[in-house]
Amino acid sequence: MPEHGDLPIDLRLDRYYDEVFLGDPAGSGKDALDPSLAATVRRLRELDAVEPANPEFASKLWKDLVLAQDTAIDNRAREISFAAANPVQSRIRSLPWPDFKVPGERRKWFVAQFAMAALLVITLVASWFTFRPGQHNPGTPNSDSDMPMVYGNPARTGVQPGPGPAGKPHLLWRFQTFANIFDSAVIVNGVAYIGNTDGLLIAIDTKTGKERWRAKPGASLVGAAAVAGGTVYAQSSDGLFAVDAETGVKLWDFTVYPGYDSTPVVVDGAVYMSTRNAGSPAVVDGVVYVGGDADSTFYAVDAATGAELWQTKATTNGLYALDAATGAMIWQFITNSTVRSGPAVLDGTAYFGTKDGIVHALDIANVAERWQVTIGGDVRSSPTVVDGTIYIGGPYGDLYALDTATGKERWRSPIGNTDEASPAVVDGIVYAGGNDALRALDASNGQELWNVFISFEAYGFPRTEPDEGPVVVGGVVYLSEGTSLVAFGN
Amino acid sequence: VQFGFRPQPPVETGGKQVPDDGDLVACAKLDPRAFEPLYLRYIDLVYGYCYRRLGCREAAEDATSLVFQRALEALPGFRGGIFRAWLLIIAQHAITDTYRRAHPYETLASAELVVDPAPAPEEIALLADERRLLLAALPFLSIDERRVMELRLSGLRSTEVAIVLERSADSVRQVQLRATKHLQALLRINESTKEARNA
Repeated sequence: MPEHGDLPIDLRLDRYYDEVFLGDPAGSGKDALDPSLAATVRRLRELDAVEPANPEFASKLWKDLVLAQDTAIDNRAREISFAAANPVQSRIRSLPWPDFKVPGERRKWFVAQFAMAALLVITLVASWFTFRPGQHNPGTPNSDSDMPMVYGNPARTGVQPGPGPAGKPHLLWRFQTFANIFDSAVIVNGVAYIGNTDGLLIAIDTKTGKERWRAKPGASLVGAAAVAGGTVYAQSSDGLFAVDAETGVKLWDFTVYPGYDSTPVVVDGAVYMSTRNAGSPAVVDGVVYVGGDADSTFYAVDAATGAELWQTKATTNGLYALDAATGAMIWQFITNSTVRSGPAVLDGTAYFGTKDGIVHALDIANVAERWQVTIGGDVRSSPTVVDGTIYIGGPYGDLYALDTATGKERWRSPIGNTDEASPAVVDGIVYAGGNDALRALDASNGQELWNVFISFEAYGFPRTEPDEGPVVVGGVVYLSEGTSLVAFGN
Repeated sequence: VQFGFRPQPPVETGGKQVPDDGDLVACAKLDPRAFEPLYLRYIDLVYGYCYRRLGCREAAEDATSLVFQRALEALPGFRGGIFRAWLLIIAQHAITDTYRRAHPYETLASAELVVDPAPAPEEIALLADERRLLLAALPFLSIDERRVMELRLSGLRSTEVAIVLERSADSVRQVQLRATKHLQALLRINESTKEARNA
């Protein structure tokens, strides 16, 4: 048992708060806490004299709540008994018939209905000609030039469709969302999908930078979306949502409470999940994998209906391998610290970083560590694994290139504050977005090829857990920067 | 009926165990009327938090009503976890909505800064009512610090604050440390102004 003096000051203060405000008996750390700080906490307790809710208000509110519940139950019961007694009338009554009061209005209403029906027929015929089989169709599988989920694929190796821009690019467009964007865009069929902390999911035409639609399926969106079969799946702080990729109409939702999010990795019938990472769902073979809840639960959800297929609870920090079909735990690899980076799974090895500054390479077949390298800091950047090299953001704004076989450092390049963003590697060029610039480095030696200045902006809150890396598709680099999505190209 | 959230001295329950939130939620899912014990347990927590955010009784009562209405509606979807953190996540949204309803033409950014305009630090001392001193000092903190302190003063643990604010517990503790030092300085300004006036 360590002495209180050994604990960091924030932890000691936290315990003292618990003691003063919550009456925790032991482990206060009061003796070791700076006396003036302790006095401040006690003074805050004295000053914090918010009176309890007025008892009259409280009992009236409860009565109102009960009344509202009873009315709802009564109405439901009345509807049910009416429907049982009059099956035909109940169906007619449930139709949205208008209430005609002015003479002649009935005729107008029928004309309007007819016009609407005619319009609908025309629309259906037109859309058949536009989307008839063989044409562009959002329901077809994603093509090679798409980035349907963050880090490129369900193995999250960071493979980008490319190609990158020829030479130094310039700003093509910037789309401002007015709330923080915490993860990369996903790009499918020339549309970029991005979520922000206001809970908006926005589809942006990548050619023009103009909005196609926006939806607000739930609360704050903190991870990246995933697109499969014409549907966008996104995890907000209060659930998982499926939204039609063409129209933005919500198809279903599935409640997952915030807490420990996860960016699942799906490879060869196994799901790899960590207990702490940005919440970005994975979609493979009609199943959406997602993690969440305060007690770290992993879920598999039917992509078509939103029905739960299985759930498995995690126990502690680490990496978990689950059977993709049943959710049964295959193995768990406990780490000393939380896993906020990766994993990326390639050739039977999982590469990931932990909060204590270590990059791990784990042999999946034997659940044995092949190597581990300490790069320091708090590894939050997810590794990009390309051609035998791991590219990962480290402390002090350095980008590291490590050998996949040994973990040996190949080069290290100072590129600004990127410890949270993952780089993109396409055709021997590393694209990395820092706080001030988008940079391109030579993947073989880390030499800078060019940089484009971008401003760092934040709207309202400072960024807490950004994990956004550039996305390189069709000669354009897309970067989530502060509250906007920006595109750079030639 | 006794309303009260702040930890009370242990009550003799005659060997009976006080039911925990999870059991109560399970009962309330079957029958909304069984929500009453949870309501009694948390009305002061929710009201206190709304009061600290909104700074006035009427607005806090409006927001509290909204929180419990929404909580009852959303209860069937509650899948476990810490109930009171869940309740305060609802409260966060309800407070923003209450504020927006009262100020329909303001931007979202100002909705984040919900508290009445604050006096200058030296003027805090002139507040006749010392009980408003802390409420008057809170607007001098950064938004981050305020969000953490409002939840902490309402009686949440730092791990629960982390859940409500979607941050790591580490960062919540760091912010708490900064906020405490900040408040310490503000209260010191207050004391010295008071002394100067008395001299």
